[in-house]
Amino acid sequence: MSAPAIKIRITVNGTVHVTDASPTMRLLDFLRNELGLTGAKEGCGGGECGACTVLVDGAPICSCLMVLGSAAERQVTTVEGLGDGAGGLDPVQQAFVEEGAVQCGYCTPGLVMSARALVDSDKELTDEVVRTALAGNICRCTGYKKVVDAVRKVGAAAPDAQATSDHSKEQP
Amino acid sequence: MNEPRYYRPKKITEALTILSGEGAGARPLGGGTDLLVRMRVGHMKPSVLVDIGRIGLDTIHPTGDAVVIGAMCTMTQLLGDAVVVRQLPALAQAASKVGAAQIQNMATVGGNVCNASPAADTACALVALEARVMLRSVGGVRSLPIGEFLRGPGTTALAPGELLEAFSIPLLPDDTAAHQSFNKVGGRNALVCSLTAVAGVTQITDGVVQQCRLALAAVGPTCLRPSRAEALVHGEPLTEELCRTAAAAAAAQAQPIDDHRATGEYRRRLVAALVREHLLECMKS
Repeated sequence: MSAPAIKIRITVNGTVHVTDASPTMRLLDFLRNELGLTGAKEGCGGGECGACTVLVDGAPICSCLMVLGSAAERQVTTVEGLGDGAGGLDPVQQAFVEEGAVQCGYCTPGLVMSARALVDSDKELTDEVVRTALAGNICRCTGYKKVVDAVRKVGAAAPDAQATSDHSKEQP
Repeated sequence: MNEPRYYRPKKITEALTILSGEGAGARPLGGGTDLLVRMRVGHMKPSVLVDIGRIGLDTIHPTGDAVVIGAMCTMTQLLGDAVVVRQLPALAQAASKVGAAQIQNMATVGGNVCNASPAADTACALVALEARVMLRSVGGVRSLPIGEFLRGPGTTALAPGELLEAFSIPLLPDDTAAHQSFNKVGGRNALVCSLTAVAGVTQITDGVVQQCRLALAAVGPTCLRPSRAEALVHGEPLTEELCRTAAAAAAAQAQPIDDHRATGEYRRRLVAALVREHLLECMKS
């Protein structure tokens, strides 16, 4: 049996893409280089820093450690897929702005995606729960207090947050 | 890096045919959290990747006296499974210590064991739980105790063309009387390779230890069972004195090395502290 030259079908931020890209290309490289979605960043390239975090079927993963083939037929959400599509921010992004949870910004897309998945879960957003959920996202500028405050603030305003988070509820 | 050829079979039989046909350069791709890192730094250069994410190895089902866990179950799946959380808490606790959320959503229990790192968290718990590994190839199936499967750092009993399909974990006859724990010490709280970890499965009936199985991670070429410590407490009522003596025996059986993470002497002390903690918890519960 020879490795079939398959076309890969993948849904990114609600848009279906059918691509000839190599199935062993990292999902991160596909998003950045093929689709021009540069929100997800490469930090360590080894699954330790979380800068490349995107959601696959609603769950945060490191896109530097997933090959494109593994993401085939699945729903990928990047930071570009958040918000209302008309420039309005997602409640998580809005809370980051209001709490001043951004400094250089390199880690922010990853942090926002981890936070988005957490807010969409049914977990109570205690300090400990938020810190555990964000443990895989490293920020070297600010420390984490404002980030944690921002995420907890979204949790406290849950009904609004839920109403605008339809992107993460897509099913494959 | 020469790009490996990629297959994504839909059935286990298809995956096995590819693995046996492609020979030694073929690697199964599970969650990718270890393999892709090793490929990136050039430690591994597979010519073929067989993505085993769509061949149905991601189920957990109780079979009466055992629980069968598919090799492709992720850490997150283990943590969300009621049977695992209730009846195999040592495994659930170990899964919760593997990486952070992103890694737990990708990393698989089969991958954690097949990488055969002496510090692998779920492997440590599975050794204490006396899991059997179920291996399949085009030639058939076989099963082995996990202690025989793990041969040394990065080395397992997996034969060419063979795939780790599932783990079968025996349940204790009366799990209400059993105490399970997994505790590890690392350089910080999350995202860290264990300096030392200890899993314990101890069953006490009428105040007497019926079974005590301990597994020590990152203090030997593979996960170790400190047989002398286990034998010391077997058939005895636990006392603080005995917990201390058994902990010292476990530390004496550890074979830690000095490396960039910690000294062997520090690891040996950690073994004693973690074994004692497990036994003291058993005494109190």
